[in-house]
Amino acid sequence: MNFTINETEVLRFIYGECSSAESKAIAEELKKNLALQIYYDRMMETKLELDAIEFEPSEMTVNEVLDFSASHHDSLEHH
Amino acid sequence: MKITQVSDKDLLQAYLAGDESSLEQLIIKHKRKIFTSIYLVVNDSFVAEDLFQETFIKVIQTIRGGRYKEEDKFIPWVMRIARNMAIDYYRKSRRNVMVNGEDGEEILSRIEIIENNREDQLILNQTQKTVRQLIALLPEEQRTVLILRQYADLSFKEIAEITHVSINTALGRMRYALNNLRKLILEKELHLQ
Repeated sequence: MNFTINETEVLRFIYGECSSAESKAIAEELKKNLALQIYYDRMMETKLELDAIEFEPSEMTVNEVLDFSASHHDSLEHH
Repeated sequence: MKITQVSDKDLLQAYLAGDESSLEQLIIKHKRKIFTSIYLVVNDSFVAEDLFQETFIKVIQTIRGGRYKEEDKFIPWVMRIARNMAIDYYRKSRRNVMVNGEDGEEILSRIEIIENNREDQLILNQTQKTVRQLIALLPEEQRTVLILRQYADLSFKEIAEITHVSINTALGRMRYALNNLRKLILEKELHLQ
């Protein structure tokens, strides 16, 4: 594969937006390019930290969804 | 049996067979991921609660109506519905309150990390809270791309379209966003897990 592998390409790789051929080329490049490997590790760490941020809906909201489902059980079926 | 041991597909089948508790299990399994994707985009807890409800009402209606065709991809499907609702909300709110700009940045100028206005429902640990606050320090255009990619799960191509910039610009902003966030984290001496 003939394309320049830089930090932007690594970013696409981290977010799963590369083709399989591109991913393979980037994975190979990471093995031999220490600077890029360090960049990849740092960005992955940061992404994982972002992944860990979570919120949850209130119990009332969840219950309202469940109530909707239960109360519309018959009317929605087989439409 | 633990919830995590039952596949979404099996839960869906049980729900279709009339087992309402299967829906509850599906929601319990995935509510955080779905709600987070809505909340961080719309930046309003009340709106996020409403959109979460609307998302699942649409899910229920689609499943019950026999129109669900993605048996093995339940969560990506629900996430798409949630994401579209969140983005629609943005577009509507932009029309109402935003001042027009030239490059589309105003579209998402309200995407910012607000102060913790519902601390009781946050489940973040202190490090996560700090990271969330650090995101708010990023320049607006970087913060926008980061939130849309990271939490709304839009592709860089989709982000480029919605913000009216080139895909390379979107990628560049994301790269700067992560680099700057990394620096801010190091300055705060946070220990990444």
